[in-house]
Amino acid sequence: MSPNPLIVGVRRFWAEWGPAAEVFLLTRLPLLGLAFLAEVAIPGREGPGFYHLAPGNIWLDVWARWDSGFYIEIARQGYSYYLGEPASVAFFPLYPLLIQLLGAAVGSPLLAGVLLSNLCFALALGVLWRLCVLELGRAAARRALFYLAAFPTAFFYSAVYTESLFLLLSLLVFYHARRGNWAWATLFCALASSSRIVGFLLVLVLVLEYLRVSPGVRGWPALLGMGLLGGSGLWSYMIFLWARFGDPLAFWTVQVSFNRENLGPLAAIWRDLRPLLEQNWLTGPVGWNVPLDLLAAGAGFALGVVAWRRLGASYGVYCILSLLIPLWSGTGSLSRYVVVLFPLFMILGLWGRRSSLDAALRIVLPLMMGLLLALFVNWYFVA
Amino acid sequence: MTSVNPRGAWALLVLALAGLNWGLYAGLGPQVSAPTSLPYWGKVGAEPPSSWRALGSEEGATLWLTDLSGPPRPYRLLLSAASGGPVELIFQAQATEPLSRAHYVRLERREGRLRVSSGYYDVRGQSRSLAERSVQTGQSAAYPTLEVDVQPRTYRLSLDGRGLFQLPLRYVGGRVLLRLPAGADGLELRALAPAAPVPLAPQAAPEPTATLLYRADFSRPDPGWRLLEGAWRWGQGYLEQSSPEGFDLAALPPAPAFSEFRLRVRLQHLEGAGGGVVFNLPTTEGLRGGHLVRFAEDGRSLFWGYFDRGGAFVGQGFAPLKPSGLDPHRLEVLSRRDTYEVRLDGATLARGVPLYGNRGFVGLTASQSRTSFTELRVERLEPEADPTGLSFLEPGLAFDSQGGRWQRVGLALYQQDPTPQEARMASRKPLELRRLRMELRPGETAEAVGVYGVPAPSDWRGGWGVRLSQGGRKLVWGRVEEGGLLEGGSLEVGGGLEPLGLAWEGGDVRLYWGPRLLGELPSPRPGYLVLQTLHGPAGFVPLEVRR
Repeated sequence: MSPNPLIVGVRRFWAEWGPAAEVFLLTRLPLLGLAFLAEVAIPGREGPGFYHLAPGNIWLDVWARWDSGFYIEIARQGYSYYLGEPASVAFFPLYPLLIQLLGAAVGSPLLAGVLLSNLCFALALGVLWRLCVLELGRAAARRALFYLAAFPTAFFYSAVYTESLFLLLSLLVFYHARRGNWAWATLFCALASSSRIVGFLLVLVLVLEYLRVSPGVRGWPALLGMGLLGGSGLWSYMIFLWARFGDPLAFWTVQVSFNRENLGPLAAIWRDLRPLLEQNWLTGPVGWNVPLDLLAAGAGFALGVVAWRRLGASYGVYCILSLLIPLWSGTGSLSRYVVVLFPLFMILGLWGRRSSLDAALRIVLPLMMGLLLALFVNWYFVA
Repeated sequence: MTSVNPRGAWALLVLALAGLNWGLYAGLGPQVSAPTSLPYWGKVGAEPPSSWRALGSEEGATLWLTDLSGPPRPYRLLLSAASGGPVELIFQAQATEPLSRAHYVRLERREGRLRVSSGYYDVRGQSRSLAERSVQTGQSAAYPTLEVDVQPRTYRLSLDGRGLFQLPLRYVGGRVLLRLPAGADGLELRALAPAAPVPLAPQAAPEPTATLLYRADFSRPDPGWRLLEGAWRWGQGYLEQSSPEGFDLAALPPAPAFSEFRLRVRLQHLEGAGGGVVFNLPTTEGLRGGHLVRFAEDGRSLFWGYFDRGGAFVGQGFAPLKPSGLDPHRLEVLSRRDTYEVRLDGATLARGVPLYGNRGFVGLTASQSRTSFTELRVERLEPEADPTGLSFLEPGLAFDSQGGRWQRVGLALYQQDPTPQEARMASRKPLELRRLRMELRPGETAEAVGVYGVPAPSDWRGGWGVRLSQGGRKLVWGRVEEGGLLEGGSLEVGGGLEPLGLAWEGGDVRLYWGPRLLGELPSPRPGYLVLQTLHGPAGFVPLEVRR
């Protein structure tokens, strides 16, 4: 008797994608409940700017805080740019564009944003699983997936933030570049460069990977073409900004309104760290997220160097530059920027074969994520 | 070896790019509400027009969304009102629910004058005041006609054809709203095509003697400013310290050093409190040796003092305030030859405060707050022969010292020596005083500081006294008994320094600690005034001396 095709299909799917689906469900379902609980049990901050996009549906509302408002605003009302104010031009277009498209189908940009983020994250875990199996083997891949999904700021993958989309696109660039599928890698690179400013760095990944397999001058025309097309998402956005607001670098110009100015990494660290050193640590530092951001950045740089040596230059360069660019103007949000740098979690996945480290990470990371999520939903700035 | 690239992927790339660009221009371009055709006329009778929509009520005022959308080109808005309640006209509103990114003009009657203020609602919906003006109006209950002339980059405000001020325009197009008190009647809103601009009326000089020495131009970024610390941001019409962390963050304008001047700033706390000014800074490198006047971080007081040569802050006084939230303030410092005066919103909080240095650079400061500054002026102060009549040292108020090292600092007297168990400064002759208000400033090592009114410098019995001891925490007062004991009352003052007030009436003197009446005691008239310190250092700062 031949087996039921449905059962065969499910078994085949689980064999291929099971670990990714398992990690997705294991981390996302508790987060849903935790976010709701944190919102109803803990009094949050109130006042101008602390918006609630869906006050009648807390399960949904909790996933839109801080920058989420900009993405929803772009999807609803288009871009705006006003001198001296935090303006939506700082946020790249692909994610809000997809929210607009999906929002038209589901009737709510907020619901569209939450669905989109979670869908992208589920797919990203699947691609990460395939990439990790390719590079590290199944055991390390399982650990890497869990560490990434349970990282303290990994709740942003379910929020109306661009993290999950960018993670998916950057993984697809690496995955296809490692397999020599240059057209696909260029396609996803172009999309990534329209989803976040550091997406442009993936052009460098394309170049490094291409040079790794095709050294010499023979491939330069193709390389140049891939580089130009890989950054076409960014070019498109810059032309749009120039046409609509007269400033092709508006996404950069506006950073000063988000308290980001080009100081250089050391000056930026000192600027953010000094207030902490001047206050009484026994009574509680006010800027508590600065040490977290610095810890995340420090670990990111260290693991980036290891990734360079263990996985290849493209992995290491991508991680280090992705941290260095935002660090040039401040330490804020680095703990969020780190979460999409999947090569760091691949290294942790390798190191996690030591059971003591694995156990520590499996306890500490989810606990921290729960704590930071509770702060996030109650309008305390996390990253 | 590279694999063969599938044609499908390249085709998909072209499609994706086309889709992205189509989405950018068709879906994500800036959206502007369709402008209403001009002229527009809306009138509030017993009820607002049915095409207006109430967006909510707060403190007795309702926010109305009119059916008027401003065009993205010059136009005029005219508002006239028959009744005198506060009215707010909001225009160029980019978002209405909640209200954000919009300009506003507020009209409000206060003490027979009409206060006109204008500013904008920022991206968070926070109201940010840029300018205000108080205008004398007639006895009529009706408001003069307000005209807002919207130009491509600025807007001008005028009342009954008299130009008030011109401010930068941040937002283009957008909706028009009105915040009206309950029962508003006889209000008319009109929108018309542009006309010839109304000339601005000259700003009245605050004092006839004022000569402008420096005025900061906040309309555009000025790279000449020296930003010592903090996150200072230029906006259209303001300079903002935008980091809510850090203390005494300062920005100095490109102005020379001044002496004998009036420094006036207009500030608004956007988050927290802690804005103020620094002045008489010896250098532009830092705050050492300079003076500071600013709000406390809790917004419940304004304090003043100086940074000594070592950079340590030495407080010279404070005044309790009612926290005022987002209300803008006008802070003034009058720096004279030896002393300075502090004024807030027109009220004098301190006079005759000794200057540590009487010449130097001025600047803005903020601590633990986001603070926006919209005005900084420095005017020359003409020297005053006897500005307040409050010196201890004027003729006829001469003192003789007994022990200690007494020193005149401005109009104040300080006993600088920490060693003598007791040091006194007694008036040379009996005084006939009506009022005396002073601050007692015990130094760190001072045991006590006191003021007495006695029949004779050698015999204090039958006189009265007030003594602040235990590091400024305990106040004792009463009749002077044998051995210098004070028979009266005592009060734990918790270290909070309030001015000591004395008022003579008949044969008695009333003692006040700040606004609080401590008691009434018999007083020798005339009597000798004695200032006493038990150890030192300690200071006596006269705020008011009336004879």
